[in-house]
Amino acid sequence: MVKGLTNTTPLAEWGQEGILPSPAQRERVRVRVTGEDKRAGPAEHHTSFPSFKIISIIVLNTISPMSAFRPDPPRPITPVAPDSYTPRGVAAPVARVIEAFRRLPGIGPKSAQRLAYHLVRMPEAEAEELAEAITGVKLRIKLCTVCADITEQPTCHICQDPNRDRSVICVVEEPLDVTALERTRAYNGLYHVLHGAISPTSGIAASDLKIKELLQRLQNQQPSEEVTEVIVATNTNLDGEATAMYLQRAITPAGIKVTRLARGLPSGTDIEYADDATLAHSLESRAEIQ
Amino acid sequence: MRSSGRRYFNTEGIVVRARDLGEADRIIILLTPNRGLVSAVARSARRTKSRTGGHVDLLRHITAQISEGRSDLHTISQVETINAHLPLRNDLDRLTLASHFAEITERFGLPNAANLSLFTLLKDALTYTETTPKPTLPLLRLWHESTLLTAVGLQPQLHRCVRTNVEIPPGDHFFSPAEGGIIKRPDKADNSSTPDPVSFDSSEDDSQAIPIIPVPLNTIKLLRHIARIPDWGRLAKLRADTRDIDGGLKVIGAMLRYQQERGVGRAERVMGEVGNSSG
Repeated sequence: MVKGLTNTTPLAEWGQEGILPSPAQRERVRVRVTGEDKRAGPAEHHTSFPSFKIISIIVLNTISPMSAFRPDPPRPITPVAPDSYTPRGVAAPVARVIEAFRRLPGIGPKSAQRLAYHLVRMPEAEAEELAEAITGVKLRIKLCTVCADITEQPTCHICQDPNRDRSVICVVEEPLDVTALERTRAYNGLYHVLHGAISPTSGIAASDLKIKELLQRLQNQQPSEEVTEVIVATNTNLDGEATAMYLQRAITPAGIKVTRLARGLPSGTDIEYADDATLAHSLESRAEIQ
Repeated sequence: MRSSGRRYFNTEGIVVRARDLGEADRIIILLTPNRGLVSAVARSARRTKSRTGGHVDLLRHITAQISEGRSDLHTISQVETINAHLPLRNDLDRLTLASHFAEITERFGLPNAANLSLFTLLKDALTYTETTPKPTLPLLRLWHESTLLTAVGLQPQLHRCVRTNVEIPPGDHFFSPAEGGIIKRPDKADNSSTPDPVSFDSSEDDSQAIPIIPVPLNTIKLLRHIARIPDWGRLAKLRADTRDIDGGLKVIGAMLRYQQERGVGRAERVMGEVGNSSG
């Protein structure tokens, strides 16, 4: 008898897939059984259940949608032997590049192959420039000592800029959010990058983010550069809301105004498809037509 | 006209987990009344003009048309919100507690295994988290956790000793998460004052042993009361002592951790920090 599988095991279909009952063994499995009865159907409908005997179990972790929520283990780059995603007969250096591209977010096996062969056809100087850019990003990049944005200098160009309004700090989740806000040309204050958001469902707490650095920054500010407002520009999802509430709770006692980016309908959207929360926020933040 | 061959099903559900996928998609896990946990991709949900994005955020109670995939990962075709639980999004304590409910529900739920009690419990717990007065939140948590154990068939034994099967007399006793219930305190005539702990596996050494927890009389009474009256409406009026609620949370928490075979939950960790920041 296989450990963990009992007569009450909720196998979906014999000969197909089921789930091991113990939480630690909650893996999708394929089970082969011996016996004469070949009917397909829920296991509990089989009256002749005890006559079956499990002869093999294959754990199918990779097809389980639940496994998508577990962090992927690091995939080693194989220098010679390409894995099953790499077509057979591919030269080892190309296979290595394909495998390297596959590790990037949003890149599937086909895209990885296309990019790799694009590199093969690329002029040598261009390929060297790309390689230098990739190594440079790891070697030269660091976090700004003031705002934690990504920079090449100890302090980023925004924090160094004397024309910036130092009384306002905009708090964002990721360095890319700084780029998005800068594109608007509507904001001239400083930033603080948290490198994530408080996420009760992912177990990311305030101590995992650059929140302590933000509070220290507000505490140690120069009298001439007193911060009067902190704009919380976190995402409008649950994690962003949790972060905004945490910041509001931590900063308000210091007498600094905490504001949140307005939430409402995006341009060009259909009201009938808007969700309740968006519509409610739009109504709250409605403005007089000028 | 040729059929596209796609199969659809309509279901209501509560989003208990969500993660980003690719450039703009989102994978969600829904707890449904008839199909248990359902995983589905909401295409382009993170784009500003997405028609689904606003509806597939965590803790939302939604109704959706889902296109069945070849594996157990389906695709959201149409979606509408039944309850957005907006008040939760304006209060950090309520939000983290609601996230904790969603997390443990997801851990005890199973795909393709309907559990209407589990669904109803989460739906009700989210609604009560919005409305119940703040001082009652710890009792609400205890109610949810103990009712969840009952809903998944793991109700702890609170009336008879799990080792000797004798009725538990009034007094302070012990609780064994591994054995799933109360262990009667040994009589004074007995030399040992504490029962032996239980090991995960009898072949392993005692370092793997799961400690048993002392449970005061009032905590046992509270846990029995919750098991007897699973209706939160009546239970909310109960004036329970904070120490008894904390004791109950410790007992039920140990049972949850033992059954999940893992330590402190994700939301529980955040809840700890949030509690400290408000204090």
